Amino acid sequence: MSIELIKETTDTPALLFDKSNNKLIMRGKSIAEDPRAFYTRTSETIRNLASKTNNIDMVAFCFSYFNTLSAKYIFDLMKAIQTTIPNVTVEWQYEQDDEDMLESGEDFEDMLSADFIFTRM
Amino acid sequence: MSGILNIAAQFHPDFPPPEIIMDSTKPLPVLVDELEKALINYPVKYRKRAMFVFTELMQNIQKHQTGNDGMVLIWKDKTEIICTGINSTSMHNSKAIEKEVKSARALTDSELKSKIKSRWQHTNKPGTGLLQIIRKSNHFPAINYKTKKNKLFISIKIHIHVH
Repeated sequence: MSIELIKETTDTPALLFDKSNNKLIMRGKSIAEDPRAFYTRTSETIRNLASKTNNIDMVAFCFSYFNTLSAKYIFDLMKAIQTTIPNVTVEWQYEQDDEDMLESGEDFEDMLSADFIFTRM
Repeated sequence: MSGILNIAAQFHPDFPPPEIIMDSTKPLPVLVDELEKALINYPVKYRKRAMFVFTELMQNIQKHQTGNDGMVLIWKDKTEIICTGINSTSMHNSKAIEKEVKSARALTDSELKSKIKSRWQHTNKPGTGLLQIIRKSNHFPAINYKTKKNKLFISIKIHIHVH
């Protein structure tokens, strides 16, 4: 069962915590014109959660798509997560045949010098 | 709306009327949903690519238009989806766009990718969306200008090939 930490809107994704699998999930579209406030709030929410539980093993990003303005904030969020939860595994989910989304995940993986798990949905 | 349609006709005198007209007065998420429905018969890869191009064009229009006089026109067939963003703009902004496209032309695919990643890491510099459009569409946009009633209009046309 997932707890909804941040509700999805028409231009920002949801943040969920799947307690049974110790997994944070970011899911939806990220096309806000000014994504800063959303990603700052998301980062704080994750930091608060991590301070209360040691049971976050994985963070899954499942974007249907995101705009260029969001890309920097997604990268900053990933960096913040790496600092807050050092051993967390990042999963990058993408829709079957969505090569661009797969490529974006590979870009983030490279930029973070991390090993992502790529999951085709 | 009719004024900007007249401008659009001047930019594209040889084109048939666009199949989809998205005007900049509606909120972006509403427009994106409408476009997704209109392109539902295209494979995911091309549909999402078109939606990405559309989102970047429309956000650029909503940021730089000098009135509510921007729109994105879309033509689609079996082999390609064409997105054209048209809006009033400043000379300064139009020069910045041309400079960005010119510098992108000098880059290899790998250099373009590195430039985009560097901007994601360090800054949200304007123009990154345009670089992403070039990368995803594998196509340099055609940029044209028209002046009407002392107002400068820019047209940015992108072809998305559907294989």
